[in-house]
Amino acid sequence: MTNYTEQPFQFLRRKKVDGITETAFSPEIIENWYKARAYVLDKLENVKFGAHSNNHLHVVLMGDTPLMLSVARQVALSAHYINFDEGDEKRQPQNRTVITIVTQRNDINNELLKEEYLCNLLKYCKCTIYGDESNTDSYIDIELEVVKEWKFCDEDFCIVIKEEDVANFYKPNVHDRIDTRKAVIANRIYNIGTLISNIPYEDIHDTHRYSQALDAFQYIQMEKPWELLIGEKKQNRLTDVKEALSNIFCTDCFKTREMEINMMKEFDLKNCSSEKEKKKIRKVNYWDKYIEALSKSEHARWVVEKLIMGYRPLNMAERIEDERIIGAQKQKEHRKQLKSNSEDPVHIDLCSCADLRRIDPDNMKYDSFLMLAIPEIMKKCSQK
Amino acid sequence: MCFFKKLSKKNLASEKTCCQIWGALLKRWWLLALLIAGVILFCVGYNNCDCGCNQLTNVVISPWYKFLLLTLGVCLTISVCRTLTDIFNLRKHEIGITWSESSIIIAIGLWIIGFILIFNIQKENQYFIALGIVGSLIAWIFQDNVKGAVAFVHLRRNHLLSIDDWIEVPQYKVDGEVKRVTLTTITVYNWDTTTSSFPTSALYTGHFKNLQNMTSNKTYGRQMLTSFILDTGWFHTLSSTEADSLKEKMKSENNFQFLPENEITEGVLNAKLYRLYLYHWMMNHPHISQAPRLIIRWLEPKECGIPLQVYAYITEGSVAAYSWQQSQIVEHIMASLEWFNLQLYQTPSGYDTSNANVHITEKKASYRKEVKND
Repeated sequence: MTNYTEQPFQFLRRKKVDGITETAFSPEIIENWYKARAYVLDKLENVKFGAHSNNHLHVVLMGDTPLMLSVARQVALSAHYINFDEGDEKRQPQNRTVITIVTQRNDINNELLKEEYLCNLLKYCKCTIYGDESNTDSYIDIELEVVKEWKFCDEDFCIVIKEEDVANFYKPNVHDRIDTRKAVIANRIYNIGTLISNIPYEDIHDTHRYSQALDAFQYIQMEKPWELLIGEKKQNRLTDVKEALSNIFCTDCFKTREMEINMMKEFDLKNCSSEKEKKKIRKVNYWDKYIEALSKSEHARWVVEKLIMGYRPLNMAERIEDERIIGAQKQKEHRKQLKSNSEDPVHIDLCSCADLRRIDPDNMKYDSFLMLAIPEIMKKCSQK
Repeated sequence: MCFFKKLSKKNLASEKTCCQIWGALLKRWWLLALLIAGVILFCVGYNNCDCGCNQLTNVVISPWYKFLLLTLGVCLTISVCRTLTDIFNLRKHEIGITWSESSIIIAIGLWIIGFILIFNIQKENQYFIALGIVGSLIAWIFQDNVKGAVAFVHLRRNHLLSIDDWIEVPQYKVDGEVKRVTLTTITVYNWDTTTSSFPTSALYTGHFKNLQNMTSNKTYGRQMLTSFILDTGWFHTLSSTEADSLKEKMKSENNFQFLPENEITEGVLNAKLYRLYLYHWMMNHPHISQAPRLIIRWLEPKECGIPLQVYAYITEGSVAAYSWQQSQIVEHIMASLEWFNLQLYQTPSGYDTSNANVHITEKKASYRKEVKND
């Protein structure tokens, strides 16, 4: 039986500093990441929301140890739901996932800014640190709160996590290896080529337009044999390692998305009065119906992941410089150069969904396509 | 009679297609009754033929009787399809419209084939030539209807037209929403609240524009192509005082994000700075798309000034929302011109001249030679 597992976190390294080659993270930090991932994915396994739900997840972390901060990091990477609304000029963002850290430290800010924890996320998401709010209008679907003491909360979806629970859950040689099948398959959407890249922007959420690309993905890309997510070629370039890990963080959310879609379908079936209505609902493809909400949720997740991986949005001067580059090819090369910078990577798409539609609308179709491909990927990976 | 009408209306009001078909059939209950009676008579006559042919049997099994039955059937089918088309147009049921209109084409085709088979028309037959002539004549008389049927199939097959689409047909000066689509005619409610009907074939042979995707926000955005003629008399390079004053203004409006402070220096053309400012302001406007393009450019100078053209795409597609955003952009353009000491050109009006707003300078032109008084 083929072993589809890898240890991909080992290949992540710190950003270059002053031209000096990236250094590896310590084994303790890497082990904390595996512990946090295993525990958080298990704990959040059954958390799901409908697209019109007004609920949100609230995770309370009792402590500020390196392990608990790694848990905060993992929650930020995994807890993304379809009901997040980034708001607009007239409405505030709603249904963010709230992470509360209970600590007495005054320098918790500096600790969270470290690369191994939340990195750039802290600078752009809504934060309330001992009562001081910042970035209240942030378009990011994660909210961070730091308090000195925690009182009981009667919210519907409130999870309290203690360090001993995380430490006791971890099993070495089991949880420090990740099944990368879904990630490897998800990465292949970029190999489909013109069937997806030539889809015009017009009506980006019309799922019918992706049918040929989906067929190519299902019958050609998915049939290729499994390969290592981070092979020898990718290990040397930090950008490639981050892109590979991005597929893992993305596919970690697939189960949640599938559960949310199934839940909404069951809810509608339950509320049907007649058998004929139920028949109609069973014929409806709920992935098509909620494609826009799924794409927005996926973009929100991607933004958080990139900020944690060390990327940041363009600052004012960089934005002006980018806007003055005229010509699609030149602009593409310039943006690629910004992304590939090992010391301070910058990504043009780190913005709200509404802004993405203005700035880089052609890339939105990959989010839509990935969401449509989830059922096939899950089906494939459930086969032995 | 009242009973059939009531039953027909009840079934036509149903959501189910089979009930609607039944309702349409009941609407022409007399035609249906005739057809059923005719078929029963035909069956009886056909069975009695072996027992002994009488006059009634001869009539019933004659080709003309069969042709009459076929014609009744086709007329009923066409009537039912037309009723269903009305309902589907109202309910915006696109697939229903396609099938009901296509059924009319199929019915007419079967009628022609039935005619040929019933009368056993063959090449050697005397009726063959007559049929050919009559057929050509009918095809010539109804050529628009035939073209319309072809156009209908083309439009539906390629999803070029749906109910409620906003279309423009320059040939017929039509600009409005499609309300009804049939084999031969398309009905459009124009924006000036009039109604236009034109042949379906016009959309096949001529050009029309479908703006529905744009208004439904399914494209990059709606194009804004506006030019502002600037008075070149106000173009000049900035002095140091002006540069400082402009920096103050930009700072107070928090506009350095659109025009960096280090670019506002002495000796720079104010029009250039304005163009850069406007470009970056629009690039960051929440309702303007950077794709496919955003261009702020100078056009060819005219005698009245030099036009500054704004070529952008506003992300709002509907008329009211688009107009609102466009107006806000134009208002900002007019307001911000003042910061850069620029003015729009406007031809002096009667008011200006009668109120002495136009001055003629007393200073002599420098090219005049001085006349010495001896």
